Amino acid sequence: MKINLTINHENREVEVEPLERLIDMLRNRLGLTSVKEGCGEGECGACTIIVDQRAVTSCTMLAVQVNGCEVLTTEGLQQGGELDRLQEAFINNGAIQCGYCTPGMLMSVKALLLQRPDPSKEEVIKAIEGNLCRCTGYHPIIKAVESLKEEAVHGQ
Amino acid sequence: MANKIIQPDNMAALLESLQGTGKKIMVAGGTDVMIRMRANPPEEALIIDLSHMEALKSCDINEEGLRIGAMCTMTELWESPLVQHAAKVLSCAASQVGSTQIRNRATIGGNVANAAQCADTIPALIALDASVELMKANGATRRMKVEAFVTGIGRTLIDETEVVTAFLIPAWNLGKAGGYCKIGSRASVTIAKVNCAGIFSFSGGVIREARVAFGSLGQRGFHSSLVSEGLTGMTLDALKTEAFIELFVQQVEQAIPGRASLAYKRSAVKAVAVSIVEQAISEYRG
Amino acid sequence: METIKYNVVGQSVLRLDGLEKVTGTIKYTGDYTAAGMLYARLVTSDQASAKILSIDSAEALKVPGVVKIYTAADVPKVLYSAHNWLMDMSDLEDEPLLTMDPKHDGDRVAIVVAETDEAAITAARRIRIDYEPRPAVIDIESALDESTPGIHSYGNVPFDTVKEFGSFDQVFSKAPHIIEDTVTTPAQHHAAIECHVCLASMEDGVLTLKTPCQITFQVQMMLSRITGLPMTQVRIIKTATGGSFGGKSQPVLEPLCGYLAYDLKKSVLMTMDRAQSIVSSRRRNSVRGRIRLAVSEEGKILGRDLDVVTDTGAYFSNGAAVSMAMLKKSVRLYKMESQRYRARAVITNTPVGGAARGYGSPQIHALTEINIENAARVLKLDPLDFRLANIVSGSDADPMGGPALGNVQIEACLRQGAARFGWKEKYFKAPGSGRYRTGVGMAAIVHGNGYFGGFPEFTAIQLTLMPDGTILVNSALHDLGCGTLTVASQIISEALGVVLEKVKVLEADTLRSPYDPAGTQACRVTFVCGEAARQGAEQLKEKILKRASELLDLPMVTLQLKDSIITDLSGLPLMDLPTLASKCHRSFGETLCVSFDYQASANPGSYGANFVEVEVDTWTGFVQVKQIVAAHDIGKAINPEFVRGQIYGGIQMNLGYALCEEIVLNEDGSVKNKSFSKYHVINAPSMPPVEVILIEAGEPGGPYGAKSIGESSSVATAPAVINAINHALGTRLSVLPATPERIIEALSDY
Repeated sequence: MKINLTINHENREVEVEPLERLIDMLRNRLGLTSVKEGCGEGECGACTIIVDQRAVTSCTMLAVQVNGCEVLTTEGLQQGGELDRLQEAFINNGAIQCGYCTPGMLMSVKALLLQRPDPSKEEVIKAIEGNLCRCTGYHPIIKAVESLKEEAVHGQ
Repeated sequence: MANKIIQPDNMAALLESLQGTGKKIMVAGGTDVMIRMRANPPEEALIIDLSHMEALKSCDINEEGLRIGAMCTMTELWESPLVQHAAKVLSCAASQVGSTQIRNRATIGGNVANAAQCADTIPALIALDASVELMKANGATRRMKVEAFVTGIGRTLIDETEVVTAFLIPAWNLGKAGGYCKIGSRASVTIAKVNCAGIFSFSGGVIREARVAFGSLGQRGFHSSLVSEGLTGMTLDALKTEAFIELFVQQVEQAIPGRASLAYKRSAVKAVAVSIVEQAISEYRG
Repeated sequence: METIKYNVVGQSVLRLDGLEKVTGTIKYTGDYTAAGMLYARLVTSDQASAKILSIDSAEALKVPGVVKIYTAADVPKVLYSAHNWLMDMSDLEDEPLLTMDPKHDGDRVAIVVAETDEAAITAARRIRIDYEPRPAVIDIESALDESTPGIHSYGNVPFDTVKEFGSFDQVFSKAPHIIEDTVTTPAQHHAAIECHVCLASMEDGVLTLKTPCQITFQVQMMLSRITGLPMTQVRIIKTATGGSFGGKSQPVLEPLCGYLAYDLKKSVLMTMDRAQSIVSSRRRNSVRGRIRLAVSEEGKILGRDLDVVTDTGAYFSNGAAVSMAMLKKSVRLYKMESQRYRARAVITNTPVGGAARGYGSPQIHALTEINIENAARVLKLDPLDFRLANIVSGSDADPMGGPALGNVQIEACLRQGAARFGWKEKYFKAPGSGRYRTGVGMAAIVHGNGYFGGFPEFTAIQLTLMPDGTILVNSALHDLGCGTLTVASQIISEALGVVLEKVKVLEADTLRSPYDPAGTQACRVTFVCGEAARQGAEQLKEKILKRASELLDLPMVTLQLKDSIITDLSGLPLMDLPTLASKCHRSFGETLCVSFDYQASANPGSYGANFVEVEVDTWTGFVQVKQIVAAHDIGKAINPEFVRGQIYGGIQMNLGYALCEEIVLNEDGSVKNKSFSKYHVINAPSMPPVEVILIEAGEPGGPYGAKSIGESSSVATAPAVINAINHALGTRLSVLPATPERIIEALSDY
């Protein structure tokens, strides 16, 4: 089946198989390898992407389901060569160790920020409840998101 | 023949897709069915992707009650002011499904049709005495109570040629105080070991009517007359004494006698009882 | 130590691969593609113990794109030990590449190679295996029972040893108090988010593997043996690792995937799914231990009797090594006159045990620290005071003749941690009698720094001044995500006086890295490899300054190298490094480089203490951890943020060990929870607040006084949590993890 989607701000037409998972389309057909598989059942969140402003696990979706949708992966976070503030915050706050969960984490938090630009700490934790990280104990990740708030305060 | 997929985006197209005789697999949000298809892929099936069925995504109230489209996601049920107000217990149950990512895709139709014994929305729908609406390829619809619809783990009364289109919560159960609680193996993103939903009518500090339903106790969710009737007539003062908890414990003992998990569940259900009643009372007091 | 002002050491510089990781551009093994690349998937046994009567591949071969299906008959008949990393190591070799006699759920039976991963997955599913089931031995008790038939020809108890110091019988006969516990620890899944994966190819006659492993030279040795190729024709390249935690510390897929590429002369990418990563890779060895602690009337520990049985799973793996590692860790924390340690390793029809973060430390400290706390309770002593009265100091010797304990800072960990936590107030507060009870617990631990004293501990490093002034550093490092390369760069930058950005440290590649078979494990990387880097960099600096002195015609003592510039002692710039490099080429025909061999001569303890407060729901058995204070003796934090990152992550892993992580078996030995929906690790909402205290007192022998933290950070939380639960409930729970069910059961016993 042929589908049309906006992927990382670009329109694309892609031919996909009936049972093809979204994660496989993104990785194999579009080369978007930031999307990682860690469990194949929507439990670890490594394959999280944003579809129409919402975080979803791409391993539990059919590729055809994003027909006509706006899809964002970590590759699309940078705009005009500039890192998203969230990416910078991850780098600056020790939110990354092995990095395998990082793209999914970024997507979950980014989706939250799209809904709520100034989230509480509890909302941040809830947003990443479905993203497992074995390296960081989550604290540096939460701190990274919190730092955006401080930045906004200092910026004013 | 290989697998085929269609993606209807209107009722006519959906009904047409139901007409063939071959094996059909409905994909709503995908969060459950994708895992099953990955483990055990079909070879000659028609995959019907419902994700573009806007007609199944609306929620509205009429004189009959609250009608919830089968393709409403858990996130939508949680965020919808309408559902929060009219059927808070369902809204709460939806908010406890899986993770944020899962709730953004998982639908109420999928949750019920998948018929897991631990499904979060099923006890809520049963407590609300909700019906499911099924539509045949010819456009004819039929309704039945959710409690009757789900017959076992992964089993429902849906026909091969039917699709779940909506859930209907009767008008007389809307806006009632209620609560939902589940006990899993961790605080969040967890599968229920016992879950329970209840709605209550209070007046003058007394429970006039209660409907309490359980999940994860046996093969399917069920309405508990034992607990519902036992709670009816209890005063707020009686609910302070925690004597009512014993009803919940009795229900667990009746539902799963002799099971290895009984020892744990009969203890854990006490927390469920207190949580549900506390939620309801705080709502009643507003 | 703290008075010395460093340039980059002690600074939380940002990790060097942060940009690649945050943009998703970094390539993990599964992200590589190559023309003509094939994909391999394992077919594993779903029986815990069986004989395979037949394997029917007919339907699988019909799947379009299937290239070849391998079963045991198609691969070399070698038996190997995934533990042995040196040619002359001789731990039991009992693992086949593929088997017709599966010995655990997940044992490797066949491999499908296909043109696409989907085809490999589909075909793997269609292979029909006819099993003749056998009774499975799934617990330690049955394995120890002499009447149980042996899983291997060597029987079910291949390792049984007693190690003792002091006059054991005398101590125990006179002891006024003997406190006994039996503690059980679970089989834990490493749960790296990246499942096991390997990419192998034949490139101009060289078998080349890309793998996210921790031990490239061991993989090289194994594949040389399996294929018959000389080691020079087996190249193992370490790729970005999506987490390991010891799970990629033993070769798992590498021997298989390497053989496929060798046999097919094609590139082959082999991937495990999560279920296979749980049952078919390695898991933490589970342990059952009986501890008897002899204590005097005054609260002095007199001696200890440890009887530890390690369940190493279906193959021997590191059964002996982890047993001995536990011994080593049991004698370096408390002073006592005597200890008897009996260790047995048993074989069961369960997933294979292996290296796992802490390597025996989480197990032995769960045993001993739960027992220590119980002893304090029985004797009505404050567990803090009891520990303080019995801990070792730096002047104590290892009673088993092991390496010196080093600059021991356990007292500082205990005192500072307790003060920050408010131990005294909290411990003597009543736990309450209602539904929710609060309690506190603590644990002290010690871990090592490399292999010195146990195995050969040597490494090598090469540093070259490149013409543009950059420093190329070649050594066999494996960055597992902890920031190893960044830390090595910091050490070299500091020692050499070259700006951090100009230091490029390469990861392990057996074709060109200096030989270092021990890999990045055992907490040797900062302490041993880091010190090698420091000394190597000092030597290069010496060479640079000597040539600069000759070229500038100034005495060497008047020169220094700072921020990549050669200056006089007042800081006046005299020459930059590119100029020096060019002049050396012209004047001396020389490239300034150092090849430095290093042998460690110390293996001190990294000490630590955790303090934990819990609230237990006596109805649901839920444990909410309200606070953790973690105090760690780390010598010197080269990068404090990385150190804290290790501690947070270590706590996450060890907290799961205490509360929820356990590979659970059905009665037939099949694994119940082969997925993250059923095997729960701690997620963000369940992660408690953590306060970190770093004790930086300097460790001689480590670079700038640094010692290890990666493993010592993942040990103290579990016993402290169990102790806190017991404190809250008045129970003596001793089975990990303390699941809600176990807590409710324990409560019903009291």
